[in-house]
Amino acid sequence: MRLKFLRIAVVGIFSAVTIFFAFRLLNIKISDDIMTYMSEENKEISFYREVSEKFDIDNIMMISVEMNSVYDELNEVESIRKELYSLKDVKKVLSITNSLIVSSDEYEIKSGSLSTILDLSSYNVAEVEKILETDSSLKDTFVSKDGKNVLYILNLDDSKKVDIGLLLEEIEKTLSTRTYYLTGLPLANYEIAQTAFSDVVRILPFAILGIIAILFTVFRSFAGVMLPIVAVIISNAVAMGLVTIFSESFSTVTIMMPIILVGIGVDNTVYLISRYNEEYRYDGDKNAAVARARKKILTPVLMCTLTTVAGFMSLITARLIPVTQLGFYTSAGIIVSFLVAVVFMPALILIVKPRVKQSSDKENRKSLWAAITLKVIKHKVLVSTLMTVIFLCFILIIPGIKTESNLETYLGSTALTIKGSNFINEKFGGDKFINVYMKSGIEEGYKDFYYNRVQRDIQKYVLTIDSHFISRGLSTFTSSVVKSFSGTEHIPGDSSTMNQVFLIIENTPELSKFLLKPQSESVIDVRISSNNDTQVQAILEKLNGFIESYMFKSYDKALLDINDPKALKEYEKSLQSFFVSRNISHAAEMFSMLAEHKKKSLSQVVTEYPENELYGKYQSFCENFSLQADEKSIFLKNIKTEEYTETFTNFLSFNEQTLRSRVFYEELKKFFPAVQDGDLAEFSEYVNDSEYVTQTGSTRLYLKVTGNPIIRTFINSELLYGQMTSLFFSYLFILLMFIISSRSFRTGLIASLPLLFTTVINFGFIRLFNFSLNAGTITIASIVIGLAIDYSVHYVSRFREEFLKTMDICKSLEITSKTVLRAISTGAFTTLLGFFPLGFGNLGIMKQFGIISGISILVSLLSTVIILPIVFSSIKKETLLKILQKRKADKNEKKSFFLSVFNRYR
Amino acid sequence: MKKSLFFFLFLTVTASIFGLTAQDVLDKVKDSQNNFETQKAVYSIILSDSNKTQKTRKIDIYILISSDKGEKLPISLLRVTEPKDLQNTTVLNLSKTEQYIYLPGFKQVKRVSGSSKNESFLDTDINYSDMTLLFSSTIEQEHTSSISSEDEKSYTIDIKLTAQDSDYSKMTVGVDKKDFVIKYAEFFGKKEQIVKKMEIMDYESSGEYITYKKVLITSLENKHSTLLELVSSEYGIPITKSFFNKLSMTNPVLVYR
Repeated sequence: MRLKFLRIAVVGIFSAVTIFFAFRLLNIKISDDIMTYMSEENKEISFYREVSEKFDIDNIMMISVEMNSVYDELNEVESIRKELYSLKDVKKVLSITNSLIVSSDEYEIKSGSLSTILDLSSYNVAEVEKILETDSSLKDTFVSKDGKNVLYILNLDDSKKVDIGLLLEEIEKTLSTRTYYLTGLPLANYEIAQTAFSDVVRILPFAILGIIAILFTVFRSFAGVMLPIVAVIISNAVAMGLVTIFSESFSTVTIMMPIILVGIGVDNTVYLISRYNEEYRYDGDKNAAVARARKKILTPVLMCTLTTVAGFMSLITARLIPVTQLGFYTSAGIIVSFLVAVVFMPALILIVKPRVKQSSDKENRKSLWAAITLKVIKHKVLVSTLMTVIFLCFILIIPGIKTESNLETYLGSTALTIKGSNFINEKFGGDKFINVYMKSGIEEGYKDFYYNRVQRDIQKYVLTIDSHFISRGLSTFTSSVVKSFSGTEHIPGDSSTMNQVFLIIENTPELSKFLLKPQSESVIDVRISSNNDTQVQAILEKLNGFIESYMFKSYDKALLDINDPKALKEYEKSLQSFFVSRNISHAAEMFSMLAEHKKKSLSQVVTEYPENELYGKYQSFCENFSLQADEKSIFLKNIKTEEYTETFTNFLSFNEQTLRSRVFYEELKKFFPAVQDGDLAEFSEYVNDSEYVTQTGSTRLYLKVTGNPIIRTFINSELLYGQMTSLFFSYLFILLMFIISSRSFRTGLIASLPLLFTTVINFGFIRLFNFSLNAGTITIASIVIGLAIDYSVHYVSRFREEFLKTMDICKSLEITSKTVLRAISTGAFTTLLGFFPLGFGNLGIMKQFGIISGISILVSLLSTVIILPIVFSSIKKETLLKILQKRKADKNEKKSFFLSVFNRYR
Repeated sequence: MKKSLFFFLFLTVTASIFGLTAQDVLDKVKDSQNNFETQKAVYSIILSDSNKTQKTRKIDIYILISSDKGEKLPISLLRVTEPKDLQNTTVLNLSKTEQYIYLPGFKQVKRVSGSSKNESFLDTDINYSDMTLLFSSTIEQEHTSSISSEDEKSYTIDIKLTAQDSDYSKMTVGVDKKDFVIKYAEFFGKKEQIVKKMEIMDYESSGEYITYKKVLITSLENKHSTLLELVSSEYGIPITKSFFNKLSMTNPVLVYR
């Protein structure tokens, strides 16, 4: 009576726990954001987060809207922008109408945005085109080359809080009459999560049906099918419930857990039922059969649970949060399935008392596995050569595995975000931003000429990497202001002038996208089209190399004395970044020409200036200030005799810089015709530098490259590192466990051979299918090792037993294959049915995981069937006896705890 | 009883007939301050940012109130005298749409337009509209106004700015009843939030002229403030319209006598 109550209590407790966790699943949420894959404490991630919060560079969505002609419909462009801005969760919308622009002509400087500079309800298209000519990066950023598509860049609130589904509906309402494309990480993450969820909902029933089919084939009873399914339900409910308690939501990695648990969680109960049937047939006493079955399976099932858990727990060493979570929660689910098998199921069996079918005589049945083993042994040279060739071939192709994650392979080309990304890449030259962050160590350091020159050189250098890149930053605007005064885009080497330049733009609200004044922080946006991690990595390396080699991390400003050789040397060093960033190879010659020109007196410059042009300039000066200009002949005579009139002296005082740079430019053009005209004009302005910077000093300058593609690349490289660590620990733990249990190093090594083969084939197939190492595929090796070791352990232990009994290697292998491989293959196929259906998912990561894990489970089974018989049959009987008998002699017939457990389990 | 009721009604009707409308108050404010033709004022400007760091500047302001078809229009020239690196930087405001800047670093004068017409200049929190309000009590943009409250000492006037290109949606202005001087002004952004505050902390009424001696302007969005302190002021200086031109801006020394 007391036992009956205990059984009901056990069933009740398990049911209550299951119901509790199952109710938690009502709040199930799926979200995916690669940016959350790593801990916030990670330096790279936390830095990116910090910069993105300051400059709103994260949570960006891009919308391209088709117009008849963007330049003719700026009013409409602006009104769409305002409508998009009014949508919920939209923090900011940037487009061509409200982005900062500094435009100038001979008389006027216009700073602001098109909507503030122009009256958009009535404007002249030619005027717009003229304004945009001065800032081509703005035009390229927001208007397609054919002028028929306009781009809107939306900054969204914190992606965790934004309901992207709702936002998409609102965007559709706003743009329902127009053709539009959208892309961006929040949208990609939303689509990934949606696809992952629908994949799991679609695949899970098929996985369960497949397992039911196998269970029915094996047990041919209702209980034999239902009890393992109940076990799966309990372990899944608890594991998934734990996710909802400890993690905010499922990711595309953790959402695979229920399907994996269907495959793995069923095994323990299968072993129990199988043993219960066997024991019941022995004496027909259900109570005694359950007790014996539970006692006999307890340790082997515990061992199998521990090895599988070891495989999954090794994922915790991976530094990616979803992978760690998958390892942790799946391990919890496996432990629950163990408890269900040894505590809950025996109680349930005794309550429901399922019918047990009488066994048919299978003693003399033919075994396919035994036949395969015999064939393998017979042709072991051929088979082992073939296996070695396959092994070596796969080793050779492994280095070609990509670690990159391409959204298109994840989502497919029909996904909204992929269609949008492809369209925006084609029309606007890119949809991803990398950012160069800069911070000065001094107050108002952003006004410093060196700070701005560094920015400008970086922007120029980016174009040497790829001329299609579009970059915008603080120096885009400072150099534009300078251009409106001097006629050439450049950064003057003079602190006072720079302070004056900032008077014009520093209160422009649009500048806050690039500059935070209080800490002198700024960011350069570089738009790239690359989806490829290798390319992003190359860009990052080049940029970092340039910054490290040519930018001064601390400096002091000093007045430039051109006759001081030390100052001249420092000055030359500081200008190296100018030459490198513009791909100019004549640095030394151009610098020495600069030094020479700086030494020239003003009268020398006046004499070298083209006479007619000089007089024309003088005339317009006089006209502008309502002054009386000298006759040309007198003017020219005065120049020659250096007898300057007051008006001419005034003219010179107003135009000295322009005259000097023009004379220098002409000389540069003569000697360096291959250098781009714009670069020569810019360098010619350096003749007016009054200050220079020293390579060391008290002003600190901090520069760092970051951005979404950079972080993605970083996370992907961490994936590789995490996988290596996880694999290493997985191998180490399992090998140690086996060596300890068998008390033989060589037995341990032999048992681990199929694992090694499976691991190599696993990675080889990733390469062969042109998949990449991603959060899904990276975990397979560790998981499969956890599963495959079971097969080896069972095989080796049974072989050892048979060999010591018969002393006949071939016969022992045949018996081993005939007996133990049946159980192994049943387990392998149920597990396979848990993993492989994921291969039918729409989500790339899930598909790749399903296919590769399915193949790896099959390979691990086949490698056990092939490699171990070859190894054992290739060792001399005496040697094998020594290896396998060692422990027996040591322990005087006392069997290894673990091996005896496995034998009993068999 | 009837008599007292009649008397009360009489008072109410009289008050409504002879009471000032918001526009009347604003006109009186404008008249009280624009009763000079020319002025030179020297101001010390203390700029404070969110980090509590302070920068000091000194500016000379030259104002001329010119009349056009009966409408008084202020034009002004601002010259930075301190700090040294900004010395002689000059801004010429001829109207809301016509502004020039002279940068001594380039020795060039450029007309400035675009959003800068709505922006604050010289790194202060004052834009052109604020300046016309501050120095000539003129609200240049199209507006409608109403008195939202009134007590013994002051009027509070709500001003709705109807111009599309205005940075503000409305203003609330406090006017001293005695001198018809603006005591404070609050500027509201497009989303009806206060974006800027102007507080007249001290002013001088000499009977003839009203001069603001201490004005604090705070931009609430960027936590930046500008404190204008009058150093000296002169009225009726001999400057004419020709002084306010591009050539004057470039002169190292501004001579008007």
